[in-house]
Amino acid sequence: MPRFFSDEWVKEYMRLLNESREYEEAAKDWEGDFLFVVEPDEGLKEPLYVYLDLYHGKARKGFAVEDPSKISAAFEFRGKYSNWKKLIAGEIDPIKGMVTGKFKLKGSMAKVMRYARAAKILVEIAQKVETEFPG
Amino acid sequence: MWNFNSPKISYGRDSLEVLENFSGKKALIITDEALSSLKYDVLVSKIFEKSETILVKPKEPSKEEAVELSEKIREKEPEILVALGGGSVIDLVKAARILSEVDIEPEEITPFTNLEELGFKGRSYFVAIPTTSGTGSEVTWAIVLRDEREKRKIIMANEKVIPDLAVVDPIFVEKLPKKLVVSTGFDALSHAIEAFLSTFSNPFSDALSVKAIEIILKNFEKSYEGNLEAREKMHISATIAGLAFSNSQVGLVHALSHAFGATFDIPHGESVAAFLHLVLEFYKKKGVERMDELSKYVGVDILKEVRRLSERFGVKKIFEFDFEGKINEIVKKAMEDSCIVTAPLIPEEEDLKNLLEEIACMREKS
Repeated sequence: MPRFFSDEWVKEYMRLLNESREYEEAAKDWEGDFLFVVEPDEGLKEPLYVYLDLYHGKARKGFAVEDPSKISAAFEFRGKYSNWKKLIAGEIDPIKGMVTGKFKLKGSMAKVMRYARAAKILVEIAQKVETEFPG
Repeated sequence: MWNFNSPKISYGRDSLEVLENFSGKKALIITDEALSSLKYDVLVSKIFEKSETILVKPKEPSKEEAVELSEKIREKEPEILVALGGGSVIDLVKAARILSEVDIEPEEITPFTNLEELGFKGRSYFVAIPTTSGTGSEVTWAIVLRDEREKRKIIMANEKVIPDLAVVDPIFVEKLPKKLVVSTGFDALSHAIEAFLSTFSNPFSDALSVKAIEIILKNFEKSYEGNLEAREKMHISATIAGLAFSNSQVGLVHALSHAFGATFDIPHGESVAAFLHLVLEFYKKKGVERMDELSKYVGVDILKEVRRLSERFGVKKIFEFDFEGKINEIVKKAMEDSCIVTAPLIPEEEDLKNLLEEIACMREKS
């Protein structure tokens, strides 16, 4: 079982994402890369980072990031580890999570608003990855 | 975790008098030219010792108009900002108020934007006074503006957008034209129904939805016939429905109405009125169980009742348009509308194309 936010986990996530016709349709015009950030709490001592380049309904590049200062992404999505676990378990809705401040998004909010359906599918697919959580 | 948001609400006859508490403050009243011709702005301005009035065009506002108005608000520095009008005026002022304090594009007013971090302080006490009984804008976190260049409606929302005080005084709807009684009545009904069916529905919004529907079903036709007591009840129910959907969100009826309304330039209420029963039929066919639950709570088959009202009021605005050649454009806009994610089921593009094609066939037959 891949460890959360490892290279193996990202690869499996990308595989499922690129198989999803629903995501492809919802994000067919989307262009924009993300840096996902997991802030340490509840047994996680160091932050975790994943880079994902999403382009026209596909994930064309993705990897676990060692040094986030070397990454310049159009969007950054961050939250505490405990909230990420709840998100992946389907206990937090991604949109409610952002409205209530459990997750923070940097980048063009207006653009994300047009792709709210794609964002929801991104999370639903992450929930399908069998995941081992550290800590 | 979720929040319930509401402004203070003064409602009922003479509720306008609540503004006397602020009579010594410097007020800026924003209303439209049509309402000013009815002297509604005078009813408000006479309460204040120092006030100025800005008149805007009586139409659905564009983002450019919001920017323009924001500059005037910044220049006038009011202590009390009063939006007096239907949803168009209130939405315009909601957006302009934020933009008067924060230097961002209107589209950047999203549920995720931290406006305080960007410098928003809420410098003016913000009062919204609705003069129609439909949008619920006086209590909601939502704003709809037109993007003229892209022929699209921009849906914005943020907790800081919510007015500080909503004054729901029936005096402003006693002369409401019958056409507006119908379109705004359907808008309020759609808010209550969609709020209940939304995937973000919650016990607070459910209670408000059911109560609003109950009042609307009892009073819609009487209000149309000119019964002022019913008109007052419709006015309050629109605010209740606004609270319901502002805390739960809307769905496919609004996504399609925004898309259709922007493409053909038709008023929001008329577009919503036309789509409401068609979307409910679609949900019923797809087996949305919350439809049955809602019918149980309100004590009538909600789909049958909405269909009956649509027939009663001759709702057919969308049938007036030859939209077959625009189906792909409407579907694309609807699928990109943020309202769609809280619909009880998120349709495939193909579902929406089929739905619009069915409506187009009905149009040809009618």
